[in-house]
This record gives sequence, structure tokens and C-alpha cells, in this order.
Amino acid sequence: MIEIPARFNVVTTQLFQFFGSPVRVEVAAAYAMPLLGVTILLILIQRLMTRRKGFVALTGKGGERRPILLGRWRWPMFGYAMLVATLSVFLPYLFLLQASFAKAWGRGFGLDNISLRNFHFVLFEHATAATSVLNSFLYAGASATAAVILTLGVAYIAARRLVPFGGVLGFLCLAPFVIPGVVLAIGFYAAYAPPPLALYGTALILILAFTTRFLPIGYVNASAAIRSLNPEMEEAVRVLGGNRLTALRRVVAPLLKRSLLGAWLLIFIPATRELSASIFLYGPNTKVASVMIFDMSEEGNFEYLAALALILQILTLPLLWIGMKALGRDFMLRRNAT
Amino acid sequence: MIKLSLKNVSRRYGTVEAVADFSLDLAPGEFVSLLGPSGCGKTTTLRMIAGFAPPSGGTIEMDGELISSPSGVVPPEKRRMSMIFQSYAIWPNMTVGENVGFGLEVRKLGRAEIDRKVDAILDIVQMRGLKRRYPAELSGGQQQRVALARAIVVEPEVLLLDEPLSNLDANLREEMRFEIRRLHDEFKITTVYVTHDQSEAMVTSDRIVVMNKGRIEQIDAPHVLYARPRSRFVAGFIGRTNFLEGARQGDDVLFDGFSAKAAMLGAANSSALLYSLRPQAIGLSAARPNGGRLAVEAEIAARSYLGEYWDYQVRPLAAAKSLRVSCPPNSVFEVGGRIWLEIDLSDLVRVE
Repeated sequence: MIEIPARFNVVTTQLFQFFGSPVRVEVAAAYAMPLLGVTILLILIQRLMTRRKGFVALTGKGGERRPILLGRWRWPMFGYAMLVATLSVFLPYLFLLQASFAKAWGRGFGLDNISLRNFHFVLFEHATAATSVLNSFLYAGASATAAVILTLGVAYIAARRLVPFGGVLGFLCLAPFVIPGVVLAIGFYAAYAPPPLALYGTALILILAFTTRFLPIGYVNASAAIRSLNPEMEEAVRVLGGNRLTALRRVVAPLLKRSLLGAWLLIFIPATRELSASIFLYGPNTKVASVMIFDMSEEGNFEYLAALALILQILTLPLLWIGMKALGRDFMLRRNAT
Repeated sequence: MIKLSLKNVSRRYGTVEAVADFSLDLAPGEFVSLLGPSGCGKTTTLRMIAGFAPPSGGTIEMDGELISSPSGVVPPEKRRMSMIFQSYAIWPNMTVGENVGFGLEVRKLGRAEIDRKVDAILDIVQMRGLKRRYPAELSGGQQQRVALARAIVVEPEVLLLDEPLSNLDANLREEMRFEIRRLHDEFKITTVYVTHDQSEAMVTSDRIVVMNKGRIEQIDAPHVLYARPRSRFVAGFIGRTNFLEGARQGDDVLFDGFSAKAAMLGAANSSALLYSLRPQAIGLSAARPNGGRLAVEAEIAARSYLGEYWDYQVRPLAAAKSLRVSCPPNSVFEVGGRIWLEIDLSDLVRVE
């Protein structure tokens, strides 16, 4: 997004331009292949390196962490740490904040430069800005739910070996991880936009794309959660007369509630800001907040952009909090003796 | 009358034969243990009885009805059995009461009846006061009691236990052995109990099936198994023993350091005979004993005092190897001293 105006082309921006009018899907698809190949290659190399002996993250020994006394280096080191944080987090956020309240962001900080006009505009006056935020949350919620349910099923089937080659299913769930968002979007466009499906411009194509993109997050979480469950707990259900479904409903699901909700949030939050796939797949009525923000930056409306981004941020936070609350009490913890 | 019948049951994993030619009939209300070292196929056998694994060969019948064969298996939920797992498999998301009531709920009993039955069984396992606790708030022994209550409350046709005590500490394990036997005496449920601990099997069982490498070595009551082991494996696995190698020579069998009349030993005409002689079947005395028993002069090679008994190592004067002898704490002999061994030849058990 930063690079296009600077005429500094990278593969992804070039791909985006193939989607400008006239749309040349075949060219884009062909152009995406090397990107896909390189990504897969890099991931294979990374796997090879981490598989080697000696790459151990958890040793099982309780190591003691003790503070290192830095002496007179204490404050310089602190300054360095803060500099990194400032450059990467504080500064961008500070200017985002400033711009969202500014009458004109170029005029800098100052009391006379503060107004709520930007918020009023994006929330009430702009034709699609408010809807786009709503869309983002709706689609992200739908795809997070779909991805969690799908991957829970697949992870269960793979872990309990209910069908032969269940591992292949698991591998397929992880596959989108190596596919860049743009490439995935082009694939989705090519597959779903033309008839007979003709999903282009519908909410469904966006939800499907998000679900697919974040399937790996769901799968990794779901399979880790299921592997932490002793299968004897399900066998106990069956021997007492319940079938597999009863076991899933009464034992597996309640026990995995926490990790599944965690997975849901891990998908939901990045899905609300997904840009690389949605920018290819949105239609006139299905614009999402990330695309809206992109459009505003194209138009140079940085004050509106900042206000919208801030709204998106602020709406996400309480959702996180509600999510944590909804998890309920952890029954694995001892209550105070009654 | 046969409750549960296994006929020539076998189970293969690839080329590995986990269980081979396993046949066993259980009478109603009988308590049978499957005993053997890890990897002997006892848990596999139990899981086949439960219906979690189909047999590769042979059949399993309950009340004369076929429930397992290589061509089809009645699923676990339709067998009216109960199983207690090594991990207890108590559901941590349910309270004690909910855990115990689950099987009754699945059987669609009324709320009032469930409550009544759950309370009754919790009284029996002394857990009534903890009904509303969650499993994470219970000790290991209490969790085990919940698992027992949960399995028994549904009044199963057959109760299966898979090393239920192996996660408990030694004291609790001993207490729970008697608890399991007590519950069995109270409810008379036909029970199959898997363990690798011989004293666990001996305390709880009417009969013990000793298994080794997927095969049955011997099926007998605990005292018979101890007194009359049929194989070297059984003699060595159940309690401690001395193995004596003997060779037939004319009317005698020659052992290391002494000999005995072959007629008394029921010995075959073979040069390689093996006998098992339990350490407490050998008597020690300072003077030469008279009577019909075999007397062998020996020397005390070593001794250790174990509180409940003395463990002596004695070497017959003409022998190369020593024997182990258990004596009551008041029979004190010094190391290096001469003593007489007293052996009743009927205690020498011929093993394969």
C-alpha cells in the first residue's frame, strides 16, 4: 500500500495492478506462480533447519531466570529498548491518534487542530465506511466460526484415526499457510467468480477466502488441543453407553472450550484486517474496513482513514475482553475449599 | 453357566502377534485377573473384551451371544459393560455427582432415580460428602473411587479394570486392592482385572491368568499358581523361587549338591529336569533332623534381615550354587555356620 505511489513495484503490488481494468486473471495467475514457488521453497528450508537435532525450545528442566546487572549500561540499554518500541509502536500510533482528531493532519499538534469531525464523517456521513466496519466484523466472525468447526472436525478425525489417510486432511488444512494472500485471492477469483458459482461480489466469497486463509491457525490450535486430551476420557463415555457424538458434545467440546475460543479469536482478529485477499474479492456491497482504509489512503484522506482505523481498533478490544470473560471459570483450577 | 467366553482369540498388529490363541471362560460373578509383564497382551485382550478392538481371530461371547469376531464387533456402548482406565478417565468438566450419574443419564433414567442411585453408590465408596466437587479438587485415591462408583452404579454385566491402581502411591494401592475386592463381594459383578502386580492379582482374584508374550502360561487360583507353577515363567513371576536343575540317573535325580529318589519326584526319564522350590518351603535346623524329609547339610553364605523374615543364602556342602531360604525372624543363624536343610520332596515342583 505504501509502495504503489512511490512506483516501487514488488510482486504483490504488480499482481494488484493486473486486477485494474481490464482484469487479466490469467496473467495474474501465471505471475503468481513464482511467488508461490519461492514461498514453498523457503518454508521447506525453514522446516529442514528446525528439524535438525539440537533445535529444542522446551527442555523440561526448570531453568532459573535471573536479572543481569547492567551497571552504568542500564539507562542506555533502556533507551535503546524504548527507541525500538517508539519507532515501531508508539510513533505510528501517536500520529494515528493525532490524525484522527485533526482538522488537517499536516498542521501538526495543537489545540486548535482538534475536532471530532472525522469520526462524525466516517460514522454518519460517509456512504459505506460504517457498513464496511460492520462487514469486517460479520465476515471475520463467520469465517472464524467456520474455520474452528472445520478444523476441530479434521483434527479429531486425524488424531483418532477415524478414516485412513486422515493425516492428508490435516496437511490440506495447513496448506494455505504457504500460499500468499494475493495468490489465494487470485485462485478464489478464478474459481468462484465466473459462472456457475458466480460468487463474485457476495459476502460468501469473502467468508470462504478468510476461512481458507486462516484454516492453518485453526488447525494448529485444534490439533494441539485434541492431542492434549486422553482418548480414555472418550472411551469412558462409550463404555458407559454413549456414542461418539455424545462424547464430543459432553466431554471433548467442554474441555476444549477454552482453546477453541482462543483459536476463534486468533482467527477473528487478523480476519478483521485482512487486506490482501479481500481487495481482489470485495464487491460494491461487501466492502470491508481494510479495503475502505486502503481506498481512503488512495484518495489521500488521512484524517478519515485514521479515524476509521481507530474505531476498528477500539471495537476489537472489548471483543477480546468479552471473549476472555465468556470462557467462564477454569474448572481445572481448585476452588477455595468448600 | 458361563458369563463371558473367549475362544481362541488372537490379535495381530501388522506382523506382531499381540495376543495368540487366548481361551478363557468366566463364571457369573467371577473375578479373574490377567497378569503379566508389560507388553504381554493383557491390555489388548481387555480392550477386545470391551469392544474397542476387533479380534484378528477367534470369538468372544457374552451370555452365549456373539459380541466379537473378526467379521464384526458389537460397539462398546452396546455391551452393557463398564471399564476403569489406567488414567481414571474422570471427566474434569463434571462434578463427582455428574460423573457418577452420567451412565444412568445416558440410560435415560429419571432424575430422582439417578440422584438416589448416585447417593447410594457414593455412600458405599465413602465419597458422598464430595459430590459437588470437581475432579481437580480430589486426591488420586478419591478420583479412583469416583471411577469405581461411576463404573459400578450402572450395574454392568461385566466390569473391566485396566491397571487401575498403577498411578497411586504404594500405601493407597494396598488399601484400594481390598476396596476393589470388597466392592466385588458386595455386587458380585463378573470382573476382568488387568495388572502387572502379582500381589494385586492375588488379593483380588478368584483365578489368575498368567500371560507372557501374548500367550497364556497358566490359569489357576492364586494359591495353586504359587504352590504348583507349571512353567519356569510362572514360577519366577509369581513370588520368589529357587530353580533346581536335575538329571535322572538310575533311580535317583541328581541335583547340585544333593540327590533325591526319582519316584518321589515323579520325574521323567530325562537328563534335563527343572524344579521350582520356594524359599519358605526349605526348613533350617542346627541339628540333623529325623523323619521322612530330605536332609542336606549346608553352610550359610549370606543373610539379610527384612523384619518380617530372614532371607538366607545357603550352599549345600557339595554344591556350587546357593539357595535362598526364608525363615521366621526368630531363627537366627550366623554366616559361615553349618546347618541342615529340611526339604519336603512334594514341594519340589517340576516346571517346563
